[in-house]
Amino acid sequence: MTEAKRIVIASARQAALEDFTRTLATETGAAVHRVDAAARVPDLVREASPALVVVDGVENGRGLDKTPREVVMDVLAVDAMVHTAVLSPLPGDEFHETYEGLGVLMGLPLEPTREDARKLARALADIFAPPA
Amino acid sequence: MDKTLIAVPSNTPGGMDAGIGAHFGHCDLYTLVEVADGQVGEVTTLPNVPHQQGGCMAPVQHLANNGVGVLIAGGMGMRPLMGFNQVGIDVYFGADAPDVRTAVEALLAGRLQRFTPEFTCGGGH
Repeated sequence: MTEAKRIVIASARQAALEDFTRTLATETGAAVHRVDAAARVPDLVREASPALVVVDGVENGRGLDKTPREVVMDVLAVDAMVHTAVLSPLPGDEFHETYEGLGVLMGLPLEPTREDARKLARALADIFAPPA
Repeated sequence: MDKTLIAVPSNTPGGMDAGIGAHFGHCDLYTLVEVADGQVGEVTTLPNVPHQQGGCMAPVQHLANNGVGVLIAGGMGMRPLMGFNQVGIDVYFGADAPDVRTAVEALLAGRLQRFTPEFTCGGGH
């Protein structure tokens, strides 16, 4: 993957996602930028021009100060070309309905594994692959 | 209206008599209609690009790269609508038109509405 140089991880529990984040960085070769407040996401997207923003949808007081859908909308408002992935507890149909129309690349579990990171990296690589 | 290139998601084989694709990203192809001073000029077709999950911006960039200035669409999500706005392509809502000709004539007559978030899949809310 040559174009995806930067990835943003938007989460208030960065330490808990360290394995996932480190694997995603390794698999994509991208520089990772971490942000722990939803209010700072738009500025970071403007500054870093990332290829991907991973939004942590954990709740119960451990989450960002906006809903993950709001954060995704904030990202798209800055640059609709930026891809997003969301860590979410929602089952498939509910996830699709919640994020319908926002072009979210992938929903991932709240406790994403290294394999989830590899899956996300592959999905991102597929998007940036040159046309056949 | 100055010279501009209008794209209409279409069913095969495209052209002015073709039916309009219900969702722009999944259409067979685009009918491209060149319009100058309110008059229809050359009509061509442009194949669509694959639309994978999360890859909904590929058609946006595809149309922008091919000089499209206006898109008439029956349906799309919020993200591609924002993408079209970002690349400077004006989007109009044309779901009621039975074919490309009717949609383009309605646009030139000023009868089409701008495609706003309320028309998007998911409604933008």
